[in-house]
Amino acid sequence: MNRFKLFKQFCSTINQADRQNFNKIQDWWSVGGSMAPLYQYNHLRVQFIHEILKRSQKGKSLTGFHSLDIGVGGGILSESLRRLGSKVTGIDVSENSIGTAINHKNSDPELRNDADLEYKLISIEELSKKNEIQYDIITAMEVIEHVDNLPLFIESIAKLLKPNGKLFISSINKSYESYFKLIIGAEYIARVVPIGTHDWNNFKTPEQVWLQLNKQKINIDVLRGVEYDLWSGQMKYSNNETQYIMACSKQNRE
Amino acid sequence: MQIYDVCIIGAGPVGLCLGAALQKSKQLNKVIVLDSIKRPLFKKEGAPNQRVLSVTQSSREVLQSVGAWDKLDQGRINHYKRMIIDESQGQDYLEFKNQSAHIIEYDNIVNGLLEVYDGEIEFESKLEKIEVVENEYVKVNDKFQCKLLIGSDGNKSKVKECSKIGTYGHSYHQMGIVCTVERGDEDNEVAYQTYLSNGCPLALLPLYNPYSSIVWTVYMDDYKYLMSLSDEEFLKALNSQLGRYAPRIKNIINKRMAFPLQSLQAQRYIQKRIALIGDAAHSNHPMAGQGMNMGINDAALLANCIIKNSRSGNDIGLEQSLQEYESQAKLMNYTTSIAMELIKNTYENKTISPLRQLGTKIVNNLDPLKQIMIQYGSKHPLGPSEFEWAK
Repeated sequence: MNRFKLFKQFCSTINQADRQNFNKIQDWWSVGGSMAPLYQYNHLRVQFIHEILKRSQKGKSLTGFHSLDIGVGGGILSESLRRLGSKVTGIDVSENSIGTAINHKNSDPELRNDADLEYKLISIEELSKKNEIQYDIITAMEVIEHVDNLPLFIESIAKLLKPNGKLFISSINKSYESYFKLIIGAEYIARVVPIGTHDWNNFKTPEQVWLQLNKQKINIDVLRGVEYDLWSGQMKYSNNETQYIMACSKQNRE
Repeated sequence: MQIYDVCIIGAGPVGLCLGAALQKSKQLNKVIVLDSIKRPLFKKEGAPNQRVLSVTQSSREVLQSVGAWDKLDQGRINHYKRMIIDESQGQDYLEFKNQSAHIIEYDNIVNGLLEVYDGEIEFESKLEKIEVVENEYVKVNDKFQCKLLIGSDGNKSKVKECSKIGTYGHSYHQMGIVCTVERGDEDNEVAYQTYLSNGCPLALLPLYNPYSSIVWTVYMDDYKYLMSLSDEEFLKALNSQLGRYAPRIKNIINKRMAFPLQSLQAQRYIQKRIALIGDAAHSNHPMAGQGMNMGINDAALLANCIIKNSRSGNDIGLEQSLQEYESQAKLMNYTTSIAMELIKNTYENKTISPLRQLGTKIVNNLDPLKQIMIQYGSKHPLGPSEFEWAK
C-alpha cells in the first residue's frame, strides 16, 4: 500500500472494495432477491427502536424525531422511519444505493413528494464536517462491518448526535459462528447473499465498538444478540454471537 | 382521488372478519368494504335458512377477539359436543365425544360482524374495474385508490380474475344439496355424518331445536333426480339414506339449494397490492365443514401480517410484506386439502373397504388418538397462534 492510500484511509471511513460491491447490487427491492432477508430484519429493528425510545408501536409513533440513517442501501429502514412519522435524512457512499433509494421513494405515491425524507450521497465524516444540524436518532444498521476506520466513523457520529440522542447500531460479530453461518452458510452454501458481500476480517466485535463509543462519551444502553431463524424466516433475539444490535445514548456534557 | 389503506371486496364472514380485525387494531387509517349485494337483514324469528356454517373452536377464538362473537344471537347458536360418523357399507362407526364445534347460520355471523365493524362499508357496489399501474396504488372503479386490495369474493372472485391469478384444481363432478329440516327428536347435541354406499357423505348438522341442516353430497345424475323430487318424496329418500344412528326427519322446512363441489387452489394468494383470502384463494370438499374456518384463519393470518408491517412502517401493499401471509396460509390450507382428499378417497374406495372398517373399529377404541383428531379438527396446528390486533 503506498503512502498516499494509507493517508487517505486515515481520513476516510469508506471501504472502496465494499463500495464497489454495493454499486453492483441491483435487487435491493426485488422479491426473493439477495437483499430480501434485510426486509424481514426491519420488523425487529423497528420494534427495537420503539422499545428503546419507550414508544408504543401504534400509528405514527416516531413523530417529532429527526433521524439520520447511515448506509441506507435501498432505503428500507429510512422509508419505514418516515412512514412512522420521523423526519429522515439518509446517507450512503454508493451512488447505486442512493439511486435505488431515490427511485423507490419515487415509486411510492405517498412518499414521492415528501420533503421530510431526503437522501444524500455523502460520507459520514463529510457530513459531520458541515456541522449543520444534530439528530435525535442515528441508525447505522449493518454498516460498520463495511466501514474502514471505525474510530473516525464513531467520532463523526458523536458530532452529529444531539445530547441524549439515541444511536442504534446493528452488525455482525467477529466470531467463528458468524464465519460459518454468514460467510460459509449464507454466501457459499445457501447463496442467499452474493459471495463477497461480507469480509470477515472487517467484522467488529461489540467490545471493539464499545471502546470507540466510550472514547466519544457514548454509552451502550442495551446490547442484544440477533440471529436468523430458519424455521420462521424472521430475525429474532438470541444468545448466539452471530449478529448483534445495540442502542446507545450520548451523555449530556455538563 | 381518495386513498384507502385497505379495500376488501366481499362482505361475507371472512372479509368482514378481516375488516373488523384491522379496525380493532386502530393501526390503519382507512378501511373500506365493498359488496354487490344488498345489506343483509337477519331475521331473528322463524326457521333458519339453508346457509349454515360449521364454526370450529379456532374460528370462535378469532370471532371473539374481534368482539363479534358476543354480538351473535346466542339463542340461535348450536354448540354440539358429539359426532358420529358411520357408513352404510358396514357396521362400524366413529364416535367423537368431547368435541366442541358450532353450527351457526351464515346471516347470524354476518350480522354480528357488521355490528362490530366500524369502518366504511358500501353495499350494492359492484367491483367493475381494477387498475394496477406501476408506481401507483390500485385504482378501484375509477373512484378511489387503495394500497392493498383484498379479494374475499368467493370462488368466482373478480379480484382474482382481474389480477390474472390462475387457479388449478378439479371438479369432483358432485353437488352438495343443502336444506333445513325438522328433526323428530329434541337432541341437538350430536352431529351425524353417513358415508353412503357410493362413498358420498350425507351430513345431518344440528341447529337449535328442533331444526337441523343437511348437506348431501351427490353425483350429477342423482342430483338431477333428487332436485326434481317433491318435498315429500325427498323426505322419504332422505330418511331411507340417513345412517342407523341418526334421528328420522319429520319435515323439510325450505327449498333445496345446491352448489358444485370443487377442489381449487389459486396459484398465488398474493401479488403486489393484491391478496386473496377465503374461497377466492381455495375451496375444497365440504365434508368436514372446514371452508369458512379456513377462510377465517386466512383472515387472521393476513390481518396479523398487515398490522405487523404497518407497525414496522413498511408499505403494506408490497409483495415482500405479504409473503409471510402467503407462506403461512398456503401451508395450512394445503395440509387441510390433502387431509380432506385422503378421507374422501378412503371412503370412496371399495377395495379397501374391509381394511377401512377394521381401521374404523380400531380408531374408535383408541381414545387418545381420537382426542388428537378432535384437537386437529378444531384448531389447525399451523393456524394463527396469536392475534396482533388484540395486543
